[in-house]
Order: sequence, then C-alpha cells, then structure tokens
Amino acid sequence: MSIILRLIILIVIIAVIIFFGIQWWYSATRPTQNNDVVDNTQDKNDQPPEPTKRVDLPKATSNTALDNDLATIDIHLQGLTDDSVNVDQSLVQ
Amino acid sequence: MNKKYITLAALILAIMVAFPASAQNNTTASLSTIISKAIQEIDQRVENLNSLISRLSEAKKISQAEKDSLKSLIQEQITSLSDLKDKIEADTNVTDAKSDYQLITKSYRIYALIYPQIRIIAAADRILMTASSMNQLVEKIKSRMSSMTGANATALQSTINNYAIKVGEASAQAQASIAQVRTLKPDQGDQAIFASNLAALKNARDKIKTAASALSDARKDLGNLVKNIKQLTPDVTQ
Repeated sequence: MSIILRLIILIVIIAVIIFFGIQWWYSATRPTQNNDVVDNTQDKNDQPPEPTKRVDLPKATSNTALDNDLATIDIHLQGLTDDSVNVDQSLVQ
Repeated sequence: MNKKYITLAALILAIMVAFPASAQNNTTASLSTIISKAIQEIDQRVENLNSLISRLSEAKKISQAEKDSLKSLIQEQITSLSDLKDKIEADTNVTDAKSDYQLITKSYRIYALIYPQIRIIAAADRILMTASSMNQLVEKIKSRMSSMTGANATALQSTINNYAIKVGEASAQAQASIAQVRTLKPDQGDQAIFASNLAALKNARDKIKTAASALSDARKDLGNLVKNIKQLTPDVTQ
C-alpha cells in the first residue's frame, strides 16, 4: 500500500471523527426542548373546568319545531273558518 | 168626409196587419230570453260543481273511495246539466223552454243540496285534518315532558287531558256531519224529501260549528302548553 493511500485513509478517519465529535458537542451543549415543557401531570386537581356541554333538544321537539307546528295549525283553522263561511252561504241560497 | 173614412180604415188595417207580427216578435224574444237565462244558470252551476271537484281533491281525511263516489255524483250532475242545456238550446217554443228551465232547479238541486252537501264534507275533512295536526304536536309536547317531573308535569298533563276532550269532540262531530249528509239525494220535486234534506244539512252545519268551536278552544290549550313547556324545560347541562 502506497504512502499516499495510507495518508488519504487517515484523513478520512480523522474527518469522520471530527464530524461526529462536533455533532456530540452540539447536542450536549444545546438546551433540550423538554426542559421547557411544564409537567402538570402531578396537578390534576387544578385543571381548568371543562366547558359546559349544551345538550340540544331533539330537532323534532325544539321550540322552533313547536312554533312551526302551531303556525301550520293556525293555517288549517283559517281554512276551516273559510269552509264554515262557505257552508253558511251555501245553505242561505 | 171620404178622406176621414179612408184614413180611419187605413189605420185600422195597419193595426190589424201589425199586431200579429208584434205578437210573433214578442214570442220569439221571450223564447230567446228563456234560453239565454237557462244557459246562464246551467253554466254557473257547472262552474260551481267543478270548483267542488277541485275542493274534494284537496281533502285529506276522507277515504279515496268516498272522494271518488262524491266526484262521480258531481260529474253525473254536470253531465245531466249539459244534456239539459243541449235540450233547451234546441227548444222551439216558449212552453217547452219554460218547462225545461224549471228542471234546472227542481230536478237537480245543485244549490239546494249538492253544493252545501260537498261544502259540509269538505269542512268536516278540514276539521279531521286539523285535529290530526294538533295531536301530532301534542305527541311532541309529551316527548319533551318526559324529562320533567313533579308539579309542572302534572299541570301540563291536566291541560293535555282537557285538550284531548275538545279534540275528541271536534272529531266526533265532524264524522257525524259527514255521515249525516253523505247519502242525501236530490228530492226530484218531493217536498217531504226536500224538507228532510234541508233539516239534515242544517243539522250537519250545526255540528261543523260545534266542532270548529271545540278546535278553537283546543288551540288555546295548545298555545298554553307550548308557552309553558318552553319556560319549564331549560337547556340541559351534563
């Protein structure tokens, strides 16, 4: 093996060692994100109250549905008034 | 002197010649007047009968068979009136025309029987349809009441019971009025049948009024029920 080839292999080995060395130093000195997380698992009793859940009435019996039904009934009753007038008029003739 | 006699004779002659022609013209005029009036009366009746068929088509609570039966009765009347119209148009003398003209009212009784008869049935059908809609609303109110207990629910139940009595009364009166008039037939000039038909129609009319009044009271109960149930059923939280 020529001396040049040995030199190249040595340089590559040194470069790899330097690369991983820098990586290790960087990760060891940089503050981790986990340090910023507030661990509140020990404080379950101090949780904010859950928002109030609103239970909607079934659509068929909602206030709007009842009002609509009443309006429909009023239309029928108006028709009945007209029918009654027609009956009266037909018997007068 | 001679001139006077001649003038008088000419005058008398003129009157004698003119009088039969005038009488003939009057006869022609009265025949065409009778025919014209008869056609007008028949057309008006046919128009009203067609409006009854349309009204019957809108009916929801009487059975299809009953609807078809009544429509057939009306259609029968329309056909008969159309035949009578053709006959009157072909009449050539006043006596026949007058006789046929009288048939319009005596034989068919469109306004005396058919018209009020169908109007009463239509009103009764509307009462049954309204009662049905009201009952559906009460079922919804009951559904909302299922989450309520205590005095509130008891008070509402009392109102529902009163409501049910009124709607039941309205439905019974409507059914009775239909039963009373559905089988009535034209009297064909028989005064006894005419009187009994008229009495039945008036009685059925009174039933319709009673039923309409009961429904009006039931509507007030429904209004109170809806108002109260809105107040007494707050939003539920879990």
